[in-house]
Amino acid sequence: MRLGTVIGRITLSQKEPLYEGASLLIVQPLSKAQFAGAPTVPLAKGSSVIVFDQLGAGQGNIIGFTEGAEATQPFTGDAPVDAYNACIVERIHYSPLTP
Amino acid sequence: MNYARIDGNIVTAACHPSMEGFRTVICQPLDAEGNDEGTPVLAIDCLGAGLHERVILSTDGSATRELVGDPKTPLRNLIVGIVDPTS
Repeated sequence: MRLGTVIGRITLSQKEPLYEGASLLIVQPLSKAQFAGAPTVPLAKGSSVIVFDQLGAGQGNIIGFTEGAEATQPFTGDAPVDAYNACIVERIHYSPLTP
Repeated sequence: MNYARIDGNIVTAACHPSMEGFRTVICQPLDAEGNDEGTPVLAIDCLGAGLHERVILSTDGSATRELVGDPKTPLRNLIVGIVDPTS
């Protein structure tokens, strides 16, 4: 599971039945500095991820998302989902070990 | 399995039902010399690993599904061992 900031949302006109009632979020994974509280804008480097969301995360929220095979586990049978929103984060307690 | 260090934890406002009651920690993956490698990841911890403790991190989804007792959990990362500080 990784942490990322919700930077947008996608609305579909045609969709898989599975996507009914859920939303698709555009999520930018957090950098190490952003774990420590650095502002989420400017965005961290690296490509953003489209995350399937059933929890109702909003713009600017930090979420924990899983990727790969585990992202399809919450569904019955095969699901065309690559990333799944597992939690909406309220607070991060982060204190990296500094040498 | 990966070698990592606990660098914190998170508090969630909403989560998948399978995550309720489990502690979620921030793990910093380490290389063989113990230097930071890459960005931190999240893992479920049922051993009670403390801040800055070195741990072994499993990325086996089926073990995690068994531990949380929910075949539909999206979780994968799990703390499976705490490294003895004297080693």
